[in-house]
Amino acid sequence: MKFIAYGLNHTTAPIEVREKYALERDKVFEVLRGLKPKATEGVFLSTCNRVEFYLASETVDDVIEETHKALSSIHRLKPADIKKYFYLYEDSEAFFHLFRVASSLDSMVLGEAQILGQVKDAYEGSKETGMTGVLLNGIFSRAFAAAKKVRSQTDIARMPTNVSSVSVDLAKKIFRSLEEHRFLLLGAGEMSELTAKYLADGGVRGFYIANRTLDKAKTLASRLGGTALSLDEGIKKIAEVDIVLTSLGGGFSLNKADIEKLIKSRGGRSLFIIDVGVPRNIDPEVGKLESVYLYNIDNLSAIADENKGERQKAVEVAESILREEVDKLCSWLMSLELVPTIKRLRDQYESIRQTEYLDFLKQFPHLSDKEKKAIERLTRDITVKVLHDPTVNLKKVESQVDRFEFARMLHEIFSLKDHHESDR
Amino acid sequence: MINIFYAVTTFFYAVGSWFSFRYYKTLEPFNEKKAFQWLLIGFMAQAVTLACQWRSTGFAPLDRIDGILMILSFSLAGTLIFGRAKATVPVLISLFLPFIFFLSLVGFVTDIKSVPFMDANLMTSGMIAHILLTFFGFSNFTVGFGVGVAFWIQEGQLKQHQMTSWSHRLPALEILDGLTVFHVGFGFLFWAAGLVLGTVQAYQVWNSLPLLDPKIFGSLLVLIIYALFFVLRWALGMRGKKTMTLVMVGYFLALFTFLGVRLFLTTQHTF
Repeated sequence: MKFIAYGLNHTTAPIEVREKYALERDKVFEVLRGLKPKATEGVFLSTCNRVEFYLASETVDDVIEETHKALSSIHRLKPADIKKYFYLYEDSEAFFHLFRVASSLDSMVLGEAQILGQVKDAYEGSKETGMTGVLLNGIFSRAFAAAKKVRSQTDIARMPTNVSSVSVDLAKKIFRSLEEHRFLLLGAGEMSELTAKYLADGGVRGFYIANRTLDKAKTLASRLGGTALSLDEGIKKIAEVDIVLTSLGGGFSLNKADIEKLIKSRGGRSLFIIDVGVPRNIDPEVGKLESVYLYNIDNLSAIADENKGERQKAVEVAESILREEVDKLCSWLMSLELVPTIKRLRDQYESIRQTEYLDFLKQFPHLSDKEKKAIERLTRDITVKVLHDPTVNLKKVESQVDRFEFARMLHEIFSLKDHHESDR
Repeated sequence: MINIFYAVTTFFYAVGSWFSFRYYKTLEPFNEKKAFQWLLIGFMAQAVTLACQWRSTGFAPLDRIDGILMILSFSLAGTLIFGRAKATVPVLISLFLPFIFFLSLVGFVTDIKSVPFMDANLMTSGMIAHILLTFFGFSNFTVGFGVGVAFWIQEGQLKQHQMTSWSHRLPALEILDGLTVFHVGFGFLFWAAGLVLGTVQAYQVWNSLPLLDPKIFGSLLVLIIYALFFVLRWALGMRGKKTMTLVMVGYFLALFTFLGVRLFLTTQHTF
């Protein structure tokens, strides 16, 4: 039985090819069901950046051929035309690939959170349609655990990589909770709206939108659920609000003296100013004022770029975590092979026999050596005979999937330790 | 018997410290939670230990160095637990817990050769309260100082437009600011109460209050600096680095008054 990851992604196929295979849910299951005779278990992942099959099969070449036939039939393409975009990973490399995908190490935007949910959806869908069994259930549950570990133990997803989310992250480093704070937009441009949406997602509730053209401010205010103000009213509001985003053109500028005057009545409360206007709307000297944190577009971009670098650095650590997890998975799969399972079952019986035999001897110390040997032979014979029929019958099981299932059941019923546990 | 109690307490703090290091390495909240749980268990075990010792000797073990170290680790642990009710700053528990373990370990090891430095007759309840209040005051100043340093680092990074891995380990400035005020506030109350009780003790033991004694003079100065911190914040609305500088200065003076005076100056105090 082989486990394969077969598919294409944003690095191997152009958008024109990828978009053809961004399939609807029903179509996905239709494709999977079509593979059923060749693949004993399967999960099909289809997102805008990747189309991947995770399959358990005894005949890899046949199942790949079937996959191409199924995919080609969707868009009436020749298998030969699309084959060049596909990659194939087998067994441990396939596990590693799946773990990388789930952990977002293989994503276009490194560390993005969406992919884990997409892999989970793909797996749940296959599970519901009965396309997963003991093998894929075990592999995918380990993939999710590994992805969680990578996200919590590395910087892969910790640092935001776009300007708007960097702004929200900075606000969270200044204020206890964004819910308690109010936000002022000076200017109603695209960037203001985008950042405002991020802040609203981050918890900010009170919005004021001030603009030279009041109508434009009102339009944006109705979309964001805020209050529209004239520009003069907006400037006065700086004294009350905690986060200000300026994106005004036409030579609008506030200098240190203006801001100093406005913040006098704030009682030392922090003020976070995001100046995305070009030319800048706020004099850089304002950043030197006590409890004022001023960021312009270059500062935000620099942090976003730095964070991208940090995420890249985290890849190495993340991959070493994933390698460890793949090793554990391989140990688990080995433990599910029947021969080692039978051996462990025998060892377990032998250990019980020995313990009981020694206890028995303690209770009857007067027994002669001959009697002791006879009793030992008797107990050993009983053990061998008890295990004989189950062993023979287990060896007769032909299907690999059934063998896995039997092995798993034996492990559970007799509490057998797997390789990994017994190694520790 | 007491030694076994001390060993168990130290062991609990050691386990907590191990989780603290794990937290630093992995940043997993689980490890911080475990570190806190072991801190709590260690604190309770230490409370039982100190109570038993108090019962067997008739007074708190404040007359010898091992007892002093134990009380210091106990008051620091208590302060951290108390502070956590106000705000969770994972990095703080992870920073102080190994230090608490170290104090507890040294206290445990030095027990054998430790010699009392104070006459047992002087160990009245007033004296014990004076010492304990001062210890809890100092512990609050210590934790307040730790939070202040964290504020200083976080503020510096935000002003310089940097987001290093430290930024992600530290909470928001507002949380750090609130927690500093909390610890400095309680430290101030304990320290002031300790000083008042100390004055009563001074009249009873020395029949006078030597205001120029470095310990007493330093303690008063500490109170003045921290009082200035509150006045600047509440009356003038000053925040940020300027007020945090006062927390630092106040703490270094408290540290000198608490530990340095006996080493470098002459004082009537035995500790």
